[in-house]
Amino acid sequence: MARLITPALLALLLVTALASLSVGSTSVAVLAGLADFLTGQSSLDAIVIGEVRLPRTLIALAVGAALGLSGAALQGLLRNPLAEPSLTGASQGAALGAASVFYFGLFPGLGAAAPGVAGLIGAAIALLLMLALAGSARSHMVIMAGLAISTLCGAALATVLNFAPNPYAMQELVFWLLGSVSERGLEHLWLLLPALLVGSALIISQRRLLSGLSLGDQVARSMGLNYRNGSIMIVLGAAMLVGSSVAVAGSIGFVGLLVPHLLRPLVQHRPERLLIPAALAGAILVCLADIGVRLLPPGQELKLGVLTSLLGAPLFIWLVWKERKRWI
Amino acid sequence: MDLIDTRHLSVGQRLVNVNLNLVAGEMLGIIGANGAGKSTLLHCLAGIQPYQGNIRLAGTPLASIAERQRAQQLGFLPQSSHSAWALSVRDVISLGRLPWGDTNAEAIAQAAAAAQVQDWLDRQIDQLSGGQQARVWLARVLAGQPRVLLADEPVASLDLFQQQNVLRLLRRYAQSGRGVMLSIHDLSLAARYCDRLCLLHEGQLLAIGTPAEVLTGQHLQQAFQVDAHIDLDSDPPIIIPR
Repeated sequence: MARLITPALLALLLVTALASLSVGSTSVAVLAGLADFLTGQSSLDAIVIGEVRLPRTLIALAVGAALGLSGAALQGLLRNPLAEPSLTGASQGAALGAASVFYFGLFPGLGAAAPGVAGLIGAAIALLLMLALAGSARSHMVIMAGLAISTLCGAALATVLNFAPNPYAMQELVFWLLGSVSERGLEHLWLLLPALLVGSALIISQRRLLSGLSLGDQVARSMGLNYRNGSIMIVLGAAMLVGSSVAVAGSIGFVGLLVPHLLRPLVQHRPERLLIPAALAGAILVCLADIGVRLLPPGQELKLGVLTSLLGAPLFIWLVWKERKRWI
Repeated sequence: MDLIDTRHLSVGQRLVNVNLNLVAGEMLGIIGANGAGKSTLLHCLAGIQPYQGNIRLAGTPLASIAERQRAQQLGFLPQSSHSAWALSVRDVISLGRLPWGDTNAEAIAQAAAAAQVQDWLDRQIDQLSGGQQARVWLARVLAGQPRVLLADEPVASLDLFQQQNVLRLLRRYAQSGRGVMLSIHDLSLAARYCDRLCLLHEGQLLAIGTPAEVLTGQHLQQAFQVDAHIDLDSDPPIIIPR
């Protein structure tokens, strides 16, 4: 079972991606359009697939993978099944960075990519502040410092909203914060991809540490694992993943919390084996949710982040209920 | 050559100028009151506590050995263990192979058999009783086949039967040409199972030697402030406060 989970999720990912390419307001030949786009021909199908649906699908997959992987890594590091990617403060920092674009009109030269760039910078600053405040990557210090920096960024964000220059700027900002992968181009993917690759590499390089940490940091250190450096790598990787995904797609809730939680029994609860499946399942989930958003009747668009929260919250309540039964 | 040799080992006020050694085939018991420095001493050897002074592992300074090589030679069983996740017993024991970076099936099977946990390999660790779990944590250390096994109060929370079980297992491990260093509160058990004892008092080494040399009325009075009835000639030896 545990061996089959990664190939099974990969197959599901492929099916989901193809489904995502074929869902939309106009019907196009997916494979032909994709082939045309890749070979540089400018047919109508190629434009719809290549300019609209492919970036949207790839960004949904990348954002989902980033959230799933960072959730699995942080839960493993902090040995807490309720740890969440936003714990590092990076997601609030990214939101604040992007909000500043709407408010101050930063980076006008970058066009639609400006919120993404500013979000990445915001995430990086929040992360540095958090690590400086925590002093080390001890789990309770990361949680406390992350909460403190999140609160600070949240307060600054509320201030920005409070003094929004006009109702349109405020609406644009609020909609952006709700989380979406629509109307993004490939330039957003180029913003996301380097952070995704580096963040994943940092986390995956610490698989042995995550494995040893199952028995606590004393045991991990006595087994020759470098807890101090390794945990900083994991926090850094997770923050890069979540910061860049929030910077590009706004905040998409519950994926990073729930996906690792749901998959854990399928990998015999081993934290190091959870990483890749959590990334794949996160990608599938966000892409499916985005397909759901597109299938809803036209009109006022339901934002992706709203849908994942609407679906995730009952699931979370069910998890709490299940946990409660174990203790009563 | 000594497996372990410490010279002027100090950690602030918690451990002051401790010199001791562990020879191959020996089981060395660390005894002393709460706060005497027993755990601190074991933590220094296990590489999780910075220290002043010198520790040599089979003649080589511990500080010059890479972390991973050190972990292959020195296995550490902490005072209390807990698994954050509902791992299977097999997976917990295989974690003992982390310093080696392999999944040596033979070493894992041997460790499981030695600790008598081979019947529960596929059960989840959180479904076992405290005594059963203690044997699994020990099997995890045994799977790494360390030359020196460091155990911090391995029998503290066990019933009489399990205490005997674990101490006999550690003794067999030491007699196979390796070394075992354990901290222990029960002085009767210490006298019965350890080849030598090391008595710590307020971070200092009060006495080291055979149980008869260390477990004297005067030493126990000084270290524990109790007047003890000591009968090392009876089988098993008896040390109880009057």
